[in-house]
Amino acid sequence: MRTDDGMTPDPSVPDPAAATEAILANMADGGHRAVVVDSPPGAGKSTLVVRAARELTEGGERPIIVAQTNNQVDDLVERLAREHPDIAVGRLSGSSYAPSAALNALTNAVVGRTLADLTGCRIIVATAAKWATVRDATFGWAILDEAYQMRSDMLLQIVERFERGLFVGDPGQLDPFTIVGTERWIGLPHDPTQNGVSVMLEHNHGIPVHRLPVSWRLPLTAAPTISRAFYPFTHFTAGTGADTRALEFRTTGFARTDLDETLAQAFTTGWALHELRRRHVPRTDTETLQTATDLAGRLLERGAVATCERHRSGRELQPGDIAIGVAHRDQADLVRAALVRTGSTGAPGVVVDTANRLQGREFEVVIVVHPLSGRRDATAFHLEAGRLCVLASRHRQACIVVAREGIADLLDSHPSTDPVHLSVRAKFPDGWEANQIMLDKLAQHRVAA
Amino acid sequence: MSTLSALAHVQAMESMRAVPLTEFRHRRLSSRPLVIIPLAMAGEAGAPLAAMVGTARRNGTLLVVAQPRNRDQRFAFAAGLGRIVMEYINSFRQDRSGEGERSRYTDTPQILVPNPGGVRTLADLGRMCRFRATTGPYAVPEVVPELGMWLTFLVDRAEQAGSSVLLPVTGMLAEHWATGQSTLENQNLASLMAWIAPPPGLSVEQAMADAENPDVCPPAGPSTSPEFDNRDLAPAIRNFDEASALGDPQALADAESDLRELIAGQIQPTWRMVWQAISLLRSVPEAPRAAKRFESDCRAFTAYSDYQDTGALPQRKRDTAIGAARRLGQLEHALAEFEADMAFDDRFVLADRRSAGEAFAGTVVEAEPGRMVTTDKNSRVPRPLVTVLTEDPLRLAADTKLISPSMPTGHKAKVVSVRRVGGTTRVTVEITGGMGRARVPKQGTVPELGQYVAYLPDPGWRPSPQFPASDATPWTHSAPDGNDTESAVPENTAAEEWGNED
Repeated sequence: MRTDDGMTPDPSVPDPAAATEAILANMADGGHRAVVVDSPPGAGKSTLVVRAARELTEGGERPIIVAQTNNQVDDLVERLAREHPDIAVGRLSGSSYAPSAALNALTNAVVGRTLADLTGCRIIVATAAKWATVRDATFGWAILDEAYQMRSDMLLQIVERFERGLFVGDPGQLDPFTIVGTERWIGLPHDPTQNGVSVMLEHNHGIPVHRLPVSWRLPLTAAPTISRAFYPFTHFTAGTGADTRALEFRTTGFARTDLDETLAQAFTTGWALHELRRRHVPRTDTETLQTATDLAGRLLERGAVATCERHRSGRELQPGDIAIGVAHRDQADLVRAALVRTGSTGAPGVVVDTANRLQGREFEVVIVVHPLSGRRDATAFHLEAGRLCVLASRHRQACIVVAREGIADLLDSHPSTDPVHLSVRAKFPDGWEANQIMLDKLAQHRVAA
Repeated sequence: MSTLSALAHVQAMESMRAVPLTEFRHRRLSSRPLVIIPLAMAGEAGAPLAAMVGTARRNGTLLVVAQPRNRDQRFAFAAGLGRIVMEYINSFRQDRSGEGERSRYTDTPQILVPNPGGVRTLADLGRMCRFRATTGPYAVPEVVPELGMWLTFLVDRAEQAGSSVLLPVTGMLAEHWATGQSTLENQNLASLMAWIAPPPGLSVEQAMADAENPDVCPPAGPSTSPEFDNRDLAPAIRNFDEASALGDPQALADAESDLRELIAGQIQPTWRMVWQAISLLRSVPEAPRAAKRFESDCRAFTAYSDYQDTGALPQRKRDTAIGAARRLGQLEHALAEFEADMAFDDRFVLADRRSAGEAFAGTVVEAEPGRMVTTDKNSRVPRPLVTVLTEDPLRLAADTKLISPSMPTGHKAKVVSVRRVGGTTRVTVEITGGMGRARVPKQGTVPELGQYVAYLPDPGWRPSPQFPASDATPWTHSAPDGNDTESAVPENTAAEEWGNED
């Protein structure tokens, strides 16, 4: 029933500029306390934040921006200050914060510990945790970046700082969580373990929810699959055409044909499934993790040139352009250690991290160790759609999945058995189904090892 | 599950006996706990069938609801249980120490139930009792709502990690002993006890086979064995109903004593086993920091007791937005503190954390004890650097704050750098506290060359989050018409008719 990757962008999709205008118009008309923007991976969320902040200052507002991590704040401050040299941007930070060199070089960015240090700034940026320590100040507008990653109890601590909010985020990624195992609040509209956007929408009806329709990051090969698997009701398309992105080897393959075949598949189609022998293994399985490492090492060793809209004449892939994504921290440790063992000078520069920490980041090529690879059971953690979505949507060129054979059988023998609770809406996308769609797609790009 | 605890479970399986997971018992065990074994009737949520309750093995009181569907009998049971529980709780509301704000009771009640299901049953019972009116139609004795409020307090408090006012015995046992069975199987008191202390003359295998046979080891509740329900309980209740329909007092008394005897047979093996488990747990030394957590229980108990003395209202059915957020913060903080406390006290737990890369131990190979730095306030303070060589698979980032169980109290440090060399790791730490106020650190407060030290992350003090005033829930967390939870989940969804069948 599914039409697979159409090679021409769907003409019925609204144009991204129009979507941005509609969001800004909604903000300007003053009729809503909140405007929500759902953004698929790489759809220009930061661009929108920067643009909205500028429009607000032009309208005489003094907006605040709430991000979730210090890195996100740094990136935003840098972008705002660079793109709008005429606006003074303030960064509110804790006492132990040391600004980066790039930030220090910007003349219109100010770092302060209290709001009093930033009186001259037109835009003030800080983490949610930092905003939670601010008292007795109220701003007209707040822009909440990565709002789906902010827990409802955090939103409750900062909500008195602003009158209206622009909530921007990616609903397909990992939900916030708590280590406390309690069922006390399940089904409550204000469950503090939920994300802030859901709770706000639950209590306020008629809030406009916009969607950014175009992913600038994901290539044409990836966008339709990711859209269908993880954003079943809000389709998006790739912003680049069929010929814009390409990967080419600088050398010909020799000796490691198994790895080369997988790499060639990924380079030509944008996807590859490197399938290892069927076996039940612990998550720290040496063979799986070593294969992921070898694929990255091989890619660097052979050298690859990536062509895209930013580098039309091609650019050689650097270790930092490659990421290896895993589900658990101990897997990440083992892969990092394996990269060091390869002895290659570039290999340790490959980014290795868990899905939680790769959220919001972007790479040219991503190698994914499938969360369900080699498992005997499919737990809610490993089935979570957000986890696979993060891992499979970080790349601009190609995504290689390393897995043991048998995931499809595992899914079939473990249908979702999560308890159903009163007043809790069914969650979409469903992890089980999203996994099936991804597997269907990957099966077409399978290389047996 | 970490590598070490997995190993302990495998070891238990291989040697077919329980293996200690911890050096200490991290839960305080009162010298006079109140054991409650609640049983519920199948088919109706929260319908109590019986309870055995008492503060010593020899003086257990059995309370039975002859017809659990009858609301009058149900609340007569609640009143009976309430009198025992309240007498117990009130005995702790006598001795106070400290003055004014700091005045508090010196001991707290401790209720022990066989398993987590027991805690849930007490929660249901608390919910059933605390809103009952003592006047008007269907009035109940005053002790019923009082019991409901106290049970709810204890259940709420028990959610907080490290609290010991209400504990399931299986939880305490499984925290200390690893068995060859799964977490779910460990919630079965009989089979858990079969691993730890099989009855004399029986092997673990035989004891486990018995534990799975409901005729030998009746379930520890709250639900009874379905076979028992069909074979014995249902006919006995029917007899009672018939006798009460006939109005024959002798037949009624006979039917009731039959029923009591039947239920006593189901509940007494568990009663004996719980007390056996308690004496086993007493033989494990208590962790030093359990006393600190007991202090916090005393504070909570005193605060609630004083609230009761000033005319308490029953706890609300559902948390408000601000109440829930505040509570989540407290629960998370308590859990982090409890985990750090356990690793701080207990070498076994520390080893477990080390195997997961969350703590490390090793010898000092480099030291710069005389290092001084200038602070923001322009004063010179000692900030010695030491480098620890460890083989632990460390996973702590720079700037992580540390505490150390192997250094004097108050010792604080911070990770400066982590360098991996081959199979070992060199961690450089900066000592930031616990050196005294002088310009030169006190003797013994800075690790010396060759000294063996252990470090784990400091859960730290953190300011309690500030939320809006509780009567001003902001727009994101309340519906504009002002009655938010009510509109989504009507308050009366759980309303019930008194509904006695005749």
